[in-house]
Order: sequence, then C-alpha cells, then structure tokens
Amino acid sequence: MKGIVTLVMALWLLPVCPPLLAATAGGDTSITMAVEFVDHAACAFVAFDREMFRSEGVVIRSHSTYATGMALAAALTRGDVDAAYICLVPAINAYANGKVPLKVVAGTHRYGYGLVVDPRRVSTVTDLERPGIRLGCPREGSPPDLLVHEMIQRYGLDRENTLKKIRRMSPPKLLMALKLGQLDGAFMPEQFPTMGEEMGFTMLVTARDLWPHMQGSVLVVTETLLERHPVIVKKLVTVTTRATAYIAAHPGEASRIVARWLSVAEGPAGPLTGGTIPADLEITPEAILRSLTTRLECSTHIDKREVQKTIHAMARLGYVEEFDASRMLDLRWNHE
Amino acid sequence: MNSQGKKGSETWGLVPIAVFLIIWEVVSRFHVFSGYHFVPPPSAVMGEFYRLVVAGDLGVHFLSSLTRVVIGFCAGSIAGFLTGVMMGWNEGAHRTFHPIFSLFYPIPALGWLPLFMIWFGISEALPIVLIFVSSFFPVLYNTITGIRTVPKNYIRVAETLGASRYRVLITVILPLALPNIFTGLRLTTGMAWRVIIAAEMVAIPTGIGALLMKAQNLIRIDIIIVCLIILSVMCLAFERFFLFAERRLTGEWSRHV
Amino acid sequence: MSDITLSKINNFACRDVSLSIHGGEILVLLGPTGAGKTTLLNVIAGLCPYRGRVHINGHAIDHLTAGQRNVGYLFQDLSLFPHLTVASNVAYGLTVRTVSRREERVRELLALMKIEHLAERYPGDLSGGERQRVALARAIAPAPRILLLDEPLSSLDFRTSRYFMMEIRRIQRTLGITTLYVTHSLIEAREMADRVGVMCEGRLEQVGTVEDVFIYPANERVADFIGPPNVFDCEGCEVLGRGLVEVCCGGNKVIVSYSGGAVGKIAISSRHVYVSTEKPPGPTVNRFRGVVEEVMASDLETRCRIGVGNMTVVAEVPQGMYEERALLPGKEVFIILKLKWINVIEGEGAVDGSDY
Repeated sequence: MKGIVTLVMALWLLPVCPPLLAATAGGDTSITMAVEFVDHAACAFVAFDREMFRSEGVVIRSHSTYATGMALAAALTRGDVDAAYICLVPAINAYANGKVPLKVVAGTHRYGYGLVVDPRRVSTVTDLERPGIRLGCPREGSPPDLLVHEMIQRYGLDRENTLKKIRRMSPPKLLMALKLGQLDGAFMPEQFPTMGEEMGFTMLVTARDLWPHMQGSVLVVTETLLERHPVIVKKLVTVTTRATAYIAAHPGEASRIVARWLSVAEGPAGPLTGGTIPADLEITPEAILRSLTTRLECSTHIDKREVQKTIHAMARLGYVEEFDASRMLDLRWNHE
Repeated sequence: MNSQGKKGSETWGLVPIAVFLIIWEVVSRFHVFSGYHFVPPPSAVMGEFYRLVVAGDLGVHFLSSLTRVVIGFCAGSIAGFLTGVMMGWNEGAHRTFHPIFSLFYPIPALGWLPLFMIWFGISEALPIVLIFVSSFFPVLYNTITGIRTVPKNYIRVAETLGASRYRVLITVILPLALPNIFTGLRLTTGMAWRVIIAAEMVAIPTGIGALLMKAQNLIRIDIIIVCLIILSVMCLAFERFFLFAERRLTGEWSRHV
Repeated sequence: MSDITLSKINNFACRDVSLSIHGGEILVLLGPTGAGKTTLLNVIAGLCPYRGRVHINGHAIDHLTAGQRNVGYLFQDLSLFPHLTVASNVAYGLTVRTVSRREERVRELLALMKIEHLAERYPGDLSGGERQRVALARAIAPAPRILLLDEPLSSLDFRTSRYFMMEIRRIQRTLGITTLYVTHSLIEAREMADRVGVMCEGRLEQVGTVEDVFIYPANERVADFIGPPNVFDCEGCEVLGRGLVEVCCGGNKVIVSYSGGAVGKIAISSRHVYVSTEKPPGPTVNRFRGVVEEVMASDLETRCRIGVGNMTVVAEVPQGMYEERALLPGKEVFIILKLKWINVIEGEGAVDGSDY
C-alpha cells in the first residue's frame, strides 16, 4: 500500500522533470524556431527556402508553425522555442503576462492587418454600427483587436455597441465565416484580408489607415539564447536582414516562395506542427505579392517609440501593465 | 458517525488542500523550479478573482454560462426523461427508437460542434443545443435502464391490487427508477459544464469559456486558473445538488434496494 | 365466501387442470418445484395466459384483467414496495380503488396483523416475519374474494414460520376468505389444509382431505412426493379369503386388505410404520425384523430407513423414542406394517386417486 502511495505521489512530480532536465542540459548549439503561419513571417520562409540560415552557420533543430501569434506566445511561455518570428503584440503579452524572458532583436515588417467587409452590407465604417451587422476579430490581446479599438476611437463609434457585434475566432475561421455569410466583416492579419479581397470582399480599413508606423512582427529570442549564444542571435538578425532585402529585390519570387510554404496542397519543406489553412482557401502567389507589397512594409528597423506606444495601448485596454519598452528590446545588432 | 465526528472528518479533509495551497504558494513565489512554466501563486489568483468580481466581468461571463447550462440541461434532461419513459415502458417504442438513438449516442457532444456551427451559426442557440445533446442521452438511457430493471413482481403486485398500467407507472415504476435517473442527471450535469466551456471557447463572446480563451491569448494564467476553479466549483455544486435531491426523494429506502 | 372453479386449464406449465375450491376453505396445493403450482395461482390472478375457464361463484372471470378480478395475492418474495412505508403499502390496494375511509381500514388491518407500531417504517427496515405480516395485510386490504398464498413461509426460520402459520390460519378463519395455499412442505399442508391437492409436472394428480392424500396416495407420483416413498413392488399374490391377500415384497410376506385381482405395488405412509426395539406383543401379522440403516433427524420428527430383507422401509418415529432408544444405524428393530394403512396402488382394480 505504501509503495502504491509513493508511486502515485511520484507521478505528480513527472510534469516538472522535463524543464528541470532542460535547465541542466547544455552544450548543443542548434536552436528551435517558430514562425507564424501567415505571410508576416515571409522573411523566415524566404530564409528557409534560400538556405540562408545554413549559409550563416545557424543550425535549426526543428521549426514549428502556428496559425496565430497567440499560440506561438503560448509555446514561448512553455519554453519550447529559442527564437520566433511573431507579432509584437503577442510578444508583449508573453513578456509582460507570461513572464517569458525574451528580447526583441529585430523587426520584420510594419502594418500587415486589415478589415475586409461584405460590400453588399457594409460600405463605410459607420455602416458597422447598423443593427444586425456581425464583425469578426481574433481574440482580445491580438493586433487586430488593438486596431478595432483604434478604429472605434478614430471614427467615434459606439464602443459598447461595436464590441458586442464582435465574434472572436482565429483568422482562418474568420475567413471561412465571411465566406459562408456568417459574418459581414472581419479584421485579420495578412494575408487573410488580401485573400478576402480575392473572394470579392472589400478592404475597408488597414493598419496603415489607423496607426501610422505600427510595428507588425518582430524577431524574438530567449534571454537564455542571448546569454549563451549571442553569436547565433547576431546571425539570426543578419539572416532576417538578408531575407528582408531579398523580398524587396525579388518580390515576385518571394511571393511564390511564401505561397508555396503556406499552401497545404503542395506541402511545405520542413516538419510542420500547429495551424493549417483549409485547403479550399487557396493561397495564390498573386495574393501574397499584393499582400507583401501593399499591405506590409518589410523592414527590420524597430522604433522604440512605436513599441512603447503599443505597450501603452495594451495597458490602456487592461491587457498588460505599463512598462518601459527598452526592458524587452536588445537592438545591438539592429543597425537598419 | 455523529455530527461532531462528521464535522471533524470534514475539517480534516481540508488539511491536504491547505497543504497543497501552501506548497503551490511557496513554489510559485520563490520560483523553486526554474524555466518558463509561469504559474502565479494562489494569492495572485485569488486577487485576480476578487478584481474580476468587483469589476463585474466575472459576473457577466458567469451568468451567461449559467443561463446556457440551465436552459440546455433542463431541456435535454426533460426530453431525455420523457423519451426514456416512453421507450422503457413501451416495447414498440423501444424497438423503433433504440436503433436510431444507438447510432447517435456514441458521438461526443462536441463532435456535433462543426455541424451545429453551420446550422445555428454563432449564436446563443449553439451552446444551448450542444448542452441539450450532451444531457439528453445519459438521462435517456438511465431512465430506460431504471424502468426496465424494476422487478416484474412489483408490477404484478400492483396489478393484482387493482392498479391500471398508468397507475403502475406513476406509483411504482417511476419512483423505483429514480435512483437510476438521478445517476443520469449527476453524470449529465458535469458534462454540461465541460461542454459549455468548450462551446464558448469557439466563438461565443460571453461566458466562462470565452473568458478562458481571452485569458489564454493574453497569457493571463491567473485568469485561466480562476476560470478553471469556477468550472470545478460549478460541476461540484450541481452534482451535490442532485445528490441532495436524490437523498431527499429516495434516501429513506433506496439503500435497501 | 366465494367458490372458485377451474376447468381444463392449459398453458406452458399446466396440463388439463380442473379444480374446485369451496367457499371459505383453505386448499393447500402441494407439489415439487416446477410442478406448476405458482403458475396456477397466476392463472387465477390473471397474470399469465391460459386456455380454459375460471369461475368465481359461477361467473366466468377469464375476460377480466388482474386488477378487476379482486384477488389477494401474497407473492413468494413478498414484493413489498420498498419506496412506500408499511402503512402506504397496506393502503395501496385501497388507494388505487379510491376506497373511502381508507385510513380507518388500514389501522384495522395493522391492528389485526399486530403491526401498528411499524406503520411509518420502510420494508427494508423490517424483519422477515414483519415483512410477511405487512404483505398479508396488503393482500387482504381490498377485501378480495380469494386469497392466493405462494409459499408464504419459505423464507422464515422454524419458530417464526410456526407462528406465522397460526396467524394465517387465524386470519383466514376470522375473515372467511377462500384461500389457495401453495407449498412444498408436507408439514404446512398437514397443519393448514382443509383439503390438499397434489400437482406434479403440470397435472393435478389428486385432491382430497389430508388423510386421503397422505394415507392413500392416488398414484406413485403422489406417493413419491408425499413420501417418504414406502412403495413396494409385489410378486405373487395369494388370495387368503375374507378380503385379504398375501403378497411378497422384497422377500417378505405382507398381508394386504384387497378384493381386486393381482397386486403390483403397495404403499404405506411412514407415519403408519410402527417401530420397536423390543419384540412387540400381539399378532405377528405384518411383523418383521429389520436393521436401522440410516437415521434422518429433523426438528419435528425423525425418520429411519430400516432394511427388512430386500425391502427398505422408511418409518417416522417420535423424537422422544429416537433419543430414548438410541436408534442408531446397525440397531436391530421390529417393525409392523399396520394392515388398515396399507394401500394397493397398482394392480387390477386398484384405487384411482383422481376421483374428486
């Protein structure tokens, strides 16, 4: 009987063993990487495809993709990844609420979010206030969510009324719901709004309209990686810069690469986990091209003031407590 | 056991919980285990609980979930009970409906979610219908079992004493089937709360499930834990309610059956 | 007091059963397990299908449902409603028929059965004897025309069963209900019956007074059951005149009172086998020496299996005698088969026990 009790109590301790082991393990310089499964991570897909990581001597043990930045933030919280291409907003959530010790080391793009609507039901922003209008948006604490609040403020919409209309879903589900007529509009991260346009919906507002210089996605690394292998981090920043330059120089080819990586039908090159996009929502290179060139502004530059502005907006909404942006920034290699 | 002894036993039952909370507080507050597994201490969780209550957020979400559970559960249980009585009491009805229901019964309630989302859209009907389905089958089959396992001699005795078929059903069969029916209700009530959380996590804007999703995306583990505590307490409260009701209605005699 | 007549009852368990129960009498239906006794009760109660006729006071009741027949039935397992109190159980038959002054009637019945103090208890809290009384009260509450009792004492210990037997008798006499009492116990039959019927394998083999059935079993099946089986094959038959014949049973010459032809088998009840450890006085007719082979003691009586030549005779001996005379296996004894108790059961012109 005593033996059984001891065994049962020991089983309770099992979940804490892996992090303990992980904490004590060392010596291996390969890294795990995660990316969002949207064209925000275009530079990552290009870098993988063009083997830029390998050419810089960065060994990536495995990479995972996540349909939303929030899911990726959860993975960061769990400690499953060393580096990630992730939207700034969920990175702030992970840092402030999840207490993930991470650092933003480079940017990847500005903007990259938009509101598409059914033109038969909505033609102006004020139309959104009409009764019966259903709006879709990812969950609270996402960049589109922040932009919805910006939109409410900028256009003087009724806050309570507008928020009540919102149905919260992940971007792929938002697009499906829009397609099925269950929503009249959806605020989504690229490339979904552009895909919506291809389906016949209209882009009503974009991040550029609501928030000039909005920081989109960033490259984050864990403090552990930064302390133990600063050289690798430097190389990651270099790769990001090279990939971003490639996108600017060869947008067509970059679009084809990204479309291929995001398309389930053709199958990506590496091991995939996490989100997928339903097969009947086809991601065409043309859509990616338009998304990359008009809806995103690919750049590794980060403005600390924009990061602080984002933190402030999130604090105002009660998502995080206000803190100094420089605590989560390490831009020593970010020269752009 | 006398009342004093029972009280003492209940008090002792709180000791492991208290020990668990103390260990949790110490481990979290002093980061005993390094790594990224951020778990807020119970004091922070309780603080957040208080803040959510005072702000009114928790009340709104909780009432939304509670309303859906009560409506769906009542509708599903009543439908399950009535159908169960019909199928348990009437052989023809049983032969007709059992093959159909046995096809649907194994499907988990949440398995219907994608289909119901298309049929009902993202509305109040969606979680209510899901709870209806999750409540219907356990109550149905427990009612049927309860009725069919009533010893035949009780029915014969009642008939010889002059009771009509209807009277036998109401005065003998249903009371004796109550323990089984209550078992079904107790099973169902826990399921209802689990289903509502999952249903609300999909797209419903209000409810404990929605709050849970919001907390997940904001990586507010303290709020996640608050939601889980509420789920646990509500499951327990509902189950206890039916246990109490069962004891009141059948406690005097069911232990001998 | 109602007369009940069953005519040619046939179903899965009963074969051509015809029976009359006189108003106010207790007829005990005896037989081994599976004989169809309980099925016959169910036929009368209207709880199972059958072909044939059942009449109460000359009126056919076959078209009536169980509830309409007004039959009081005490089931073997009692089947007291566990979710109702004693008082509610007893009142059940009155409640469903919306009888007026129900409470008064229930009080009367509880007093009759001496269970007033149990009124608010539940059946699960009662002893075996108490449950029996409640079940009987419930069965007679609606003033049934006939009372059917299915092995009412089977689950009781000896002392309680004796008491309850007397209670049933008392109540039946007080209320004068025609009663059909099913049992496999000969003792209960002897104590309770005005008349006895014996059923074997679905057939009613014999009906008569206790004496008729016990002493003069109509055939071997009845004798087997009533038993212990003192049935002996006979060889040879010498007519001695004056209504006596001599037959040879297992090497022993037995004189039998018989006016018919050849004798095939004779029978005698174990009660009427006289046993003595000393040579008995008087005539030596039907007197034999034997050796005790086996002793089967029970609470009420002791039976001895005694070997007499090639014959084995079973005798009932009073309890006192068994103890005093130390009737142990191996003991030499004398037995007398009393002439007037010997019955010819197989032979030319033998008694047919189905005359009733």
